[in-house]
Amino acid sequence: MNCNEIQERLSEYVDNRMNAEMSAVIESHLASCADCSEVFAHIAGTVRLLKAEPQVEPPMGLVTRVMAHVNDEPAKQSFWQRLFPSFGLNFSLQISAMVIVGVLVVFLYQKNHYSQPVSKPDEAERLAVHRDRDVPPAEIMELSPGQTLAPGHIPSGGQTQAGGDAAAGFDDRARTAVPVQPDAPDAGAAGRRADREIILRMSAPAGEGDALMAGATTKALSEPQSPAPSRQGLKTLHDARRRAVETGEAQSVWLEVPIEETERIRKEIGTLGTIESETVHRDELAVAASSDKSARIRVTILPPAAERK
Amino acid sequence: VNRESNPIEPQPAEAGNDWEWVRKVQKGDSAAFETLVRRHQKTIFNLAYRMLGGNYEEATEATQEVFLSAFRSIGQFRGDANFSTWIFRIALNHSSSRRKTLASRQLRTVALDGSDPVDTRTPEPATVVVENETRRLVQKALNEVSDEHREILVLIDMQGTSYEDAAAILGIPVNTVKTRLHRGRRALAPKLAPYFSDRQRR
Repeated sequence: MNCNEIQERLSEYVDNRMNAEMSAVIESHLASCADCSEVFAHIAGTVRLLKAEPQVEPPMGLVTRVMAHVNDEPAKQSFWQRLFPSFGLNFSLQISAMVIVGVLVVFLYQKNHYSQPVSKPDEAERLAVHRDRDVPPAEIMELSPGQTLAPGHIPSGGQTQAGGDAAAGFDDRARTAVPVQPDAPDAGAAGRRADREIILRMSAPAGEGDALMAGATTKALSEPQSPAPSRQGLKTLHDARRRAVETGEAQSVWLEVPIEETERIRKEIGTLGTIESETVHRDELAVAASSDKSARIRVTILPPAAERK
Repeated sequence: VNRESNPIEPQPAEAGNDWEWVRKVQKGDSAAFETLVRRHQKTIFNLAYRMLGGNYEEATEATQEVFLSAFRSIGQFRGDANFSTWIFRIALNHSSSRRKTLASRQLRTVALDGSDPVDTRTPEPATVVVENETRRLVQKALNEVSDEHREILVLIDMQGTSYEDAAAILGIPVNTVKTRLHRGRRALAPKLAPYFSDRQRR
């Protein structure tokens, strides 16, 4: 072993993390090498000084102070405790409730998503459409002016019917997550349904929303490889989130996302709350295999679960 | 009914009793958290104290915040690591972000008066002068190495954490712990060398 190799192992030697054989090699080397001995003295001296430092006593009453903060925290309740606050329902009843809710959800879901366009929308469909319309159209129009981004409308080769401005707009939107208007003709019964549906439970009460929003936006903006990432999409999400807090009602948002961005956008959505459910009708591979250039994500934002005052 | 602990529930090996207390807290018994605070306050306080420039007030504040944030996220603790590993990680993350805030503040202070930023805000009571002098020197040297080196030196050489536990806390392989520790010691040594006793210096 040369001096470099010896010196690299001196910390392990000082810490007794070496077998006897290796220790003997080091010792005999140190006995005859002034340079390595100097390094050894430095490392051993440093370790000795650090280890000799006494522990500092924390202030009296630190535990009490911590516990005072802990007791100020809002009580944590389980989902079921919140759902059935004072009935004292026992576990089997809770399970039954869960099964009933589950069956209902599956029933409504199938009604809603697997029925083909018929002359008269059934109750579930009307309900869903009504939800979507709860999103004020003005805000959506502001974000995707004039046009929806159904795949047929994305021009190839940068050519559009509407001139240069529109071309730039399209180009930009094609790369980022863009909110689309759910009830526009292309997105309606004749168009595509969502490739992915996400139900998001907001994690923060309204007061913390802004900080969260700032965090998520900054994060999105600071990602190097994604120029102007889902900024618009995020804005729409945040608007919907704000509405969810204000109205206490679920809000739906549609996003049109380039296939390769799907996963990243999904993660960004996850930073806004807890994803309660996610249904994938077509995964990225399936979307890519079709002629579509982008995936449609429908995000339903539920208001925060915290008890409302 | 569902507050009762389930006796058949598997206990992770080597989690010690901390895990039982964590489970109690997770089931809604926040008073049980006090035991965990009591057990770990001194190590967390000392870790924060060393990471935050040897500032007693900062360390006190940091310790409170570390435990509070551990309490808030205790639902995420699954018992696949030791509680101490988990809370050390929280403490290191907290210290590192707090350091950045302090550093920008201190930069401004230093630029104005040119003084040493160590301990400017809380002068220590001059009880045992010699001991405090060494502590100040060691702390000053620690402040001058990189965050990465300070972290590993405080963990292993001052808190007595094993290589393996340090690897778990920092989320790095044991071999990286070895090399990082060695580099850290070599970076710190020249700053401390004047204070080795003659006998140590050979």
